[in-house]
Amino acid sequence: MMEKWKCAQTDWIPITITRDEVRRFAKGIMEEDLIYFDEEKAREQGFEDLPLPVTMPVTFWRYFSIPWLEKVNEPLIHGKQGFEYQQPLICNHTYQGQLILNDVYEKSGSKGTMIFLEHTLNLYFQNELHAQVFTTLILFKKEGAS
Amino acid sequence: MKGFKKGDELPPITIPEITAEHISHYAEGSGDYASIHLDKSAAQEAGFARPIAHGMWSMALGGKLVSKWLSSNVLVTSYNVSFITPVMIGDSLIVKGHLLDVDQGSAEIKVKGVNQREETVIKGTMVVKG
Repeated sequence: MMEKWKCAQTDWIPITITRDEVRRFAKGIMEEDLIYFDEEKAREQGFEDLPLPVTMPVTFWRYFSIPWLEKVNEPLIHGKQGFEYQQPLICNHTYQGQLILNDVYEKSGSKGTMIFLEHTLNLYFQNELHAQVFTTLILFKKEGAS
Repeated sequence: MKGFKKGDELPPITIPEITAEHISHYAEGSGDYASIHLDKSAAQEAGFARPIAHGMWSMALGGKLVSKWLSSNVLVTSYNVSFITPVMIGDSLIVKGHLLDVDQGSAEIKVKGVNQREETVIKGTMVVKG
């Protein structure tokens, strides 16, 4: 069922993160460095505004409508996560984001057959790639499912 | 990165006991309110004794290993982890950074999170470049 979605893409969407969202996320990860809370401290370090903590872009998934996951009712296991940066992401910049299901494959193990879903979220600012977010989700294949 | 060399350990990020508050703060910050993280019965239905922390919270704590180095000229250029086993309320978590390489403003760091039984819960690598 998931195989047909291989190479599927979402629509491009604009994503803008506010200072408060950065501060809330930074608090959630117990970050204490003031570059995530105080724009003056961020500017002292050369940032235009508050930078996003390294792992924050994974939260951008919530802004997408993801057709290949709409009918998945089973729990998804988060297998791997990666981030690659060309530039730091900054609050109040509007990024263009698109989520791609790059690969779908199965592996058999002691707990049954697992379906691996490899995704890339590309984030552009003014037509330049600034960051990529790589997410591997795992589903257990239902007995009898094709 | 000044003062560090290949083979050094970074000061670890230590959470002596994961609490419901840790998890709810991450849920508020990330918008991930999945019940397995916040509701004991949902966690038990999924086979866990207690609510489990978000894997991304454990990974994010690894970012704290290097946050004091960061500026517009010094970036984390890559950070990749595998999630091995979840941690849950009541567990401890220590996220460690081991410098695999340090070279003229760049560093490659092995990141590993362990619980109170010294079981690896996340593992991966981070690259910081200046």
